[in-house]
Parts: sequence; structure tokens; C-alpha cells
Amino acid sequence: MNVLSPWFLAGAALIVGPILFHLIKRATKDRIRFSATQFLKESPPKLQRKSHIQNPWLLLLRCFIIALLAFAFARPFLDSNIPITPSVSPPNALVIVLDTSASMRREGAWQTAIQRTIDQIENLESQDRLSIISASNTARPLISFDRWKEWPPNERTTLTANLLNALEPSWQSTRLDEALGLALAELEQLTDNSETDANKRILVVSDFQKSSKIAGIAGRKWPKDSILELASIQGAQPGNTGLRWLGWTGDESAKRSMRIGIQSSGQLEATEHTLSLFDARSGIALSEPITVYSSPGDDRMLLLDIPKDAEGPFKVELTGDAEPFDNTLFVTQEAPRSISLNYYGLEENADNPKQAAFYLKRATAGWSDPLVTFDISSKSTNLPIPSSNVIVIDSELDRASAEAVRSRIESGSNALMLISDPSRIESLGTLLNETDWSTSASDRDDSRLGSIDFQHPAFVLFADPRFSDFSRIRFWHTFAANYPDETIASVIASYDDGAPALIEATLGEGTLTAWVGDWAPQKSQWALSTKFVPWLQRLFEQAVGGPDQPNMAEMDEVATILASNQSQWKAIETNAFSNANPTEPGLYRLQTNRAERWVALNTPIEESEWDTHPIEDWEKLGTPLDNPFAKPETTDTDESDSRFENSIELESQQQLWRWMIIAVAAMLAIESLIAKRLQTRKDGIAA
Amino acid sequence: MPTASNTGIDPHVLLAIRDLELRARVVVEGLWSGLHRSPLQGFSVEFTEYRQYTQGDDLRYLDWKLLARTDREFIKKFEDETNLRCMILFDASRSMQFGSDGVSKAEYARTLAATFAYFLLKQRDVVGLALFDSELREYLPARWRPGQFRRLLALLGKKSDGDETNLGKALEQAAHLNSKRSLILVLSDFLSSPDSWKRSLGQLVAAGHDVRALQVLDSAELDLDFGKAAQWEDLETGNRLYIDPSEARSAYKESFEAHQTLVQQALEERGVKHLVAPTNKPLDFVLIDLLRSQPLTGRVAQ
Repeated sequence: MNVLSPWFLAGAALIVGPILFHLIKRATKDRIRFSATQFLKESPPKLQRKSHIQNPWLLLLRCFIIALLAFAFARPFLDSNIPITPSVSPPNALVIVLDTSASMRREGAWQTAIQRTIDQIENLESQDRLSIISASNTARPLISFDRWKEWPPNERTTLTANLLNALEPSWQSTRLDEALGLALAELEQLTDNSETDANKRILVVSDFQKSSKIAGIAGRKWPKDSILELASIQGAQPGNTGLRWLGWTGDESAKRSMRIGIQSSGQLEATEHTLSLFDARSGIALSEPITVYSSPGDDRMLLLDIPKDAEGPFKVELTGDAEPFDNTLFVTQEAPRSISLNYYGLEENADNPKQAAFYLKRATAGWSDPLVTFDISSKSTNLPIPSSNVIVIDSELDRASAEAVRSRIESGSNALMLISDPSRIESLGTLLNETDWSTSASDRDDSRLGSIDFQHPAFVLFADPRFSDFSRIRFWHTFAANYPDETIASVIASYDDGAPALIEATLGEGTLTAWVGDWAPQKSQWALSTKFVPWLQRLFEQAVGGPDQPNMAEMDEVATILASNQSQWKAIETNAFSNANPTEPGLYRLQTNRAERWVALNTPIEESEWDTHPIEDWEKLGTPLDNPFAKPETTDTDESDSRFENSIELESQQQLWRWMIIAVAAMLAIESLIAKRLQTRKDGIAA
Repeated sequence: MPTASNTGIDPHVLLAIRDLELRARVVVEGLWSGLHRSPLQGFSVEFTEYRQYTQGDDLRYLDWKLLARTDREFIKKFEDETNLRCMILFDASRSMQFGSDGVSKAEYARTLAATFAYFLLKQRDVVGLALFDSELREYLPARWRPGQFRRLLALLGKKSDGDETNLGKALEQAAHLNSKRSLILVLSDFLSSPDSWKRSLGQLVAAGHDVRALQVLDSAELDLDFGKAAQWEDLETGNRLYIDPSEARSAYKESFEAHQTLVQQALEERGVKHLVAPTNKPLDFVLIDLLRSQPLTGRVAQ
């Protein structure tokens, strides 16, 4: 038999108490108060009385109770040669959030991170659960708990290591909060599967850049008893310099320059850098390299002149910095998209404020993209068809003109027809090649737009409830259009009496849009409303491939801003277009709808930041932080420690102290009974 | 009807009455009724209120009205002259709190003091009270005024833990405070050695006071027929002794009797009347003994 807390045995010394009480009890208890003791002589004390122990059996019982109590507190256990049964401790549920952002491309960081992750996995037991989540701009589960469980236990480590070794850091920025959200959801799933007693642990393997986003985890509910561990990864280089695109300076005619930001962080080994400008296609240097001196914490701007005849795309390279991943900046510049607007109507209408053309011309005049050229041409059908043009029909068309316009639409033009007079409905019928279009008189005082398809590209801008109120715009019409039962046209917007207001039909490669009603101020408030110009721009942008998109973007924005279903990408050094979104920075030809242009994709500048989040930031967010920036684990425990742990285990299995406490309670009851009986007997004698 | 002379009032019954005034009344009224049946001579000041005129008496004190009515010459005494001035010295020390059969000496003595005071006040005598333990603690001067008896009772009823007895000092202080010659009744257990107080007593007697000693004792103090083998603690000093009464009894009796003899001698030497009042003795008997033994002569001579 052994004990776990031997110092409690010292409590057995309290046995002295009852012994003393039993010795002195009789001598002290009865006391008589008397007034004249000076006449008394002390009776000779009887010797055997002093050393006589009262009720020796009771004393023995009391001593035994105290000794047993002390022994129980010492937590005894029986030594046995039976090996301790394998740990019945609850399984571990580990979620590893692995930072795969661009900054992990720094020298030595990725290998360390993978090694750290594999080390953690090797320590897992067969009943443990693992999930790995990659964290860059988007979080992605690499291995889920369920998938880990499906794998055979002896192959899990190898399979995971293979998966990790095949993994590479992305070129995106870091959003740790999103990945942690995913990790928490993964742990929540465990709770659903009633594995609530598992030790829940989230390990974040990252370089913890200051620019990484973690604010999103504030206020998150963490599962009970879950722990967050942070494993900080550092690269070989203590400092880094990166390039940032700031914009263009100067206009087309004058000398143009690029504004380039140079951002340094950490401890720089070399402060002298050179900046060179190349033509991206030919690789020829376009100017002399510029020498830049930077110190840590610098964020300075540099102007890089562009030769007049150079069109781009360009490549700016930084040399002298030890970390190469963020040293190239791709730059492209596209001329604004132009639209040739063919106006079919009277020339003087454009200067008559009572005509729609007046507003059309003025609304399009100030646009920079698309750049609209208002062309009041003759109705000649022999005009060459511009690559992207818009036809506005503000008059009745004879059959020949209608045929000509129709053929132009079918070959790729977009047309807008204004049906401001009932007589024009026939022209619409001719354009659509449908005969049953008609008008009917309307006796309404005024009308408003009743229903609008906010999914339509021209109206999607107003889909937000803040902008979707069209009820203040009034129309005064004397007629309403009636469309045939079978038509290729669809109604985008209609008036409150159900009559169509905006009709759209696809003809060949082009689109015909028809507005039923007049834009003149005496007939409607539409052209004067704040919604008119944005609507018109969106309508015309459709002719050049949709809303304006940036030519230069960071890798994070590829999926959110640039890519669409129709996007086709072609890297500068390849020949074929592909549907897949690019995963690396560089220059790409992007084909969307009918336009094709250069797009420059760059590494997010935040990834060049070398400073890290202080631990307080994590604490402020209310995370159940275990050990700040975990140190490498020490797996060796010395022998005495393990023996002690074995003892604890044995003791907790046997729990002898419980039985002893029960025995003490029983003996206390017996002791009380005996003491009471003795007392009553004594009182009886005294009486 | 029982009389005071043959059947006393059982102290147990009397002390069961909570009100001290009522106790005094019970004793004194019973005593009065007893007095009618057994005429006592010279125990009261009342008998000397009128006196036959003899030649040479001051004619100012002649009762002219009586002379006119009865044709007899009587001398009328002034009230001040006739009144007895009495001071009760009450021992409030801790040893007085002893009582073997439910009646403590202090309670017994308190009733006795109240009874005596009531008796005297009924006769229009003036009574004062002084409580003492190691020294004089409370002092109520002897006065004739309304409410004096109430004040006296209030003082007697005052709870006090008491201290050790120092009778000598108390007597000294009493002599200092009482300049007029009076009857001084010392109510105490006189357990302290006579050597400590006989000098002060002598001074008191020498000052012209009529001193009476009423020794209140518990019956257990007299014969030690009490208690069992145990630790015995002295009420005043707190000394502890292991006493087996059966063994200690004879020695105690011897020692106590020797002490009593010494007390008796010390008092007699100074002409002080000594009365022992065991707490089981009826109070009216004690009072009668007190009055009967010697006429009260505390008054101031003309």
C-alpha cells in the first residue's frame, strides 16, 4: 500500500487531543463554588486518579477515527503489478488552421509550417480526430473530421503528409478569422455527433502578419473547454520590401508616370534597392533602373516615367530584396471603351429641351467609360458598322430603314427605341418581325412604374431598397402598348396599370430595348430623375461588355470582381484561353462577353508586411488562448514524473479514500452513541 | 393565627416573592401583629415621646393643649430628637452570593435590610444604606423624605458582581461619612479575618455609633453538609482546591468555629452586639432578635 499525499499523515498527530481529553476530563469538569474555602484544607489527591484513562475503549475508537481520517486524506492506493489500463482520457479533436497566404512563400516558412503540422499529426492517437483548414483570402477545409475518420488509422499520417506536401501557398492575403470560423463550425459538428467530451483544440500555424484579418472572430461563441493555440512561423529573412500600385500620373498627351509605393517592414539587411521597368511582352527594359533607399517601416512613393510610345503592359521589378515573391508588379493600361451612338431622329431634337434626344445627349456627354460619341447621322443604311455601337431610334422607321436597323442589331449592335407616339409601335413590330403589336388609348391622369425586374443589368444598380423607390417618378401618357401573346420580347418594367414600360428582345447577337412613353418633361419626370443617368449608363455599358472593371487587381479580387461565367483567361506567355481563373500573379488577356483586354494581377501588398499581431490582439478578441505562440513541445518526460502519473491513475481507479470516509462516518455514529450512553449513565449515578 | 414568636415565615416562601417591598411589608406587618400580643419594653422610641413634667424642664416643650384638656403636665419632645438615625452597611461582595439550598446569602440579607428599613421608616425613623465590597460602592444618606424607601429598595435591588470583601476599609469610610451618631447595622458574612476590620470597628464605636453586627451565614458554611468531591473554587479569590467534603468536614468545622470565636471576641471587645442569621432562619425571628436583644439607642441625646 502506498499513499499519494503523505504529508496528510501528519494529521494523525491529532490523536493526542482525545488522549489528553480522556486524561484530564474528570479533573476539570465538576467545579463547586464556595464562599469560605479559606477554612478548607485540600483533600489528599488520589494518585491513580490522575493517570487513569476514562473509558479506554471510547478513546481507542476516537483515536482510530482520527488516524483513519488522516490516512484517507493521504489518498492511499494499493500497488499492483497490473499495468495501468490504457488511458481512458477523452479523445482529442484537433483543428489545424494552416496559413496558405502569399506571405508563407517567404524563405523557409512553408517547410517549417508543414513540419509543425506533421509533428502535431504524428502525436495523435487512433481515437483522436483531425481537421485541417487552409487559410488565405478564402478558407478551405483540406481534411474534415469525417474524412480523417474514414481513413485507416495506420495510414492517416502518411496520407495527410502526402496531402500537405502537395500543397503550396496561394498568392492571396490572409483572413484568419474566416478560417477560424470554419474551424469552430467543424468543432460544432463534433458536438452534434455527441462527442462532447473530446478535448477540443484549434492550432493556428501562421506567420501572424499584422495585416492578417482576425477581427471577425470577436464575439464568436467558443465551444466549452476548447483551446486556441498559436504556432508562430518565421522565415529566414528578418525584413522584406514590397511594391504597391498607386496609380497613374499625367494624361495621354503629356508625359505619363506610374506611382509606385515601396513598403518596407521588419529588419532590412540591405537598404539599397533598384527598381526597373520592362515591357512585359518583349521583356525589354524601358528605362534606366532607379536606386531606392528604404528603411524599416517606410512606405514611400516613387514616380516611374513611361516612354511616350510605350503602350504596355509593363512589368516593374525590385531587386536587392531577399524575399522575391512580392518583388514584381504587373501594370497595364487600357484605353477607355468607346461607343458610337447612332441617333435615328431629327437633328434639331438634340437641342430641343422638349425632346428626348436633348436629355440623351447631355446625359452621355460627361462619361469617361464608355466614351460616347453622339452621332446624328443620316438614316443611311450604308454606313459602316462600328465595332460597338448603340442605335437610338427616335422616329418612325420605314420598312427599309427598319430592315437595315434590324440587320445591324442582329450583327451585334444594341438598339434603344423610344415609343413616344402610338404610331411608332408598328416600327417596333417590324423590328421584331411580329405583327400584333398595337396601342390603346389610356385615360389615366398619371401613372408610375409598377413593377421592375431588378435582376436586369440596367436595373440591378437600384436593387438595394435604399434606391428602389421609383414611385415618385410620374408619367402622363395617352396610350398604352399591347403586346401579342407570342412574342420574343420580354417586359423589364411595366406601369402600374400593367402596360409595358420597358421591353427587351434579343435579335441575333444584339439587343433591342424599347421604352414605351416619352422622356420629354411634359410627358414624364423620368429624364429629370436622379435614376435616369445611372440607368442609361448601365444600358449602354451592356453594348461594351458590362460595367467598367479594373485593369489591375490583387489576387484576392480575381474571383469577386473580375471573373464571371463567361470569363476566359490567357496568360501572357501562353496562347490558349482557359475558363479557369488564374492562380498566380501576372498579365492576362481577359475575355468577357465581347470585349477582350489586358488584366494585371498582383500579390496583395498586405502580404509584404513582416510585423506580427501582438498577443494582446488575440486576448482582446476573447479567444480561449492556451499558450501564446507555442514553443516546440517537449515530449520527453522523466521517469519519476511518469511514475507519479501512474500513482495518480491507480489512486483514481481504486479510490480507497471513499471507503475510508464512509467507515469514519459509521464509526463517528457509533462513537456518538457510546458517548451519549456513558453520559446518561453518569447523570443517573449523579442523580 | 400564627405569631411571630412561635412560627416564623419560611425564608423560602418569603424569598419566592419577587417584590422586595412586599417582602418587607409581609415581615413587618406580621411583626406588628405579633407585637400587640407580646409587649416589648423599651424597644421603640415611641415610648419616650411624652414624659411627665418634672421640675426644671424647659417650659417651651410643655404640651399646653394637653394640660388644658387633661390638667396634666407633659413634656413634648421634638421629632428630630426622637427619631432614630440608622445606617445599614450591606455587604455586596461575591462571597455573599453563595447559597447552598437555593437561597443566597445576598438575597436573604437584602430582604433583611429592606424589612428593617421598612420597620424603622414606619416609625418615622430615618434610614440610610451603604453597599460595600472591597470599599464603599454606593451610599444613600439617612434622610427623612418621601421616596426614601423606594430609593433604598432600588439600591438594594441593584445587580452587582461584587468584589472581594474589605470590611475594614468599608467601616472606615462609613465612619467618615456618618458624622452624626447613628445606629449602624452591618449586614455581612464576616468571613474575613477579624484582624482586618476590628480596628476600624473600634473607631466606629468610639465615634459614638451604636453598631450591630448581623452575620448572615449559609447553613452549609456552618457544617459543610454540602457538595461532593470536586474542584472547589473560592467565590472571591478564585482559588481552586480539590475537596472531598466527607474528608474535609471535621477540619473545616474546627477551623470555622475558631473563626467564629474570633469574630465573637472581636465584636464583644468593642461592645458590638453580634447576631448570627443562618439563611434558613425566618426573617421575622431575626428582626425580633435584633430588636429584643438591646434597645435601639442610636439616637442623638438631647
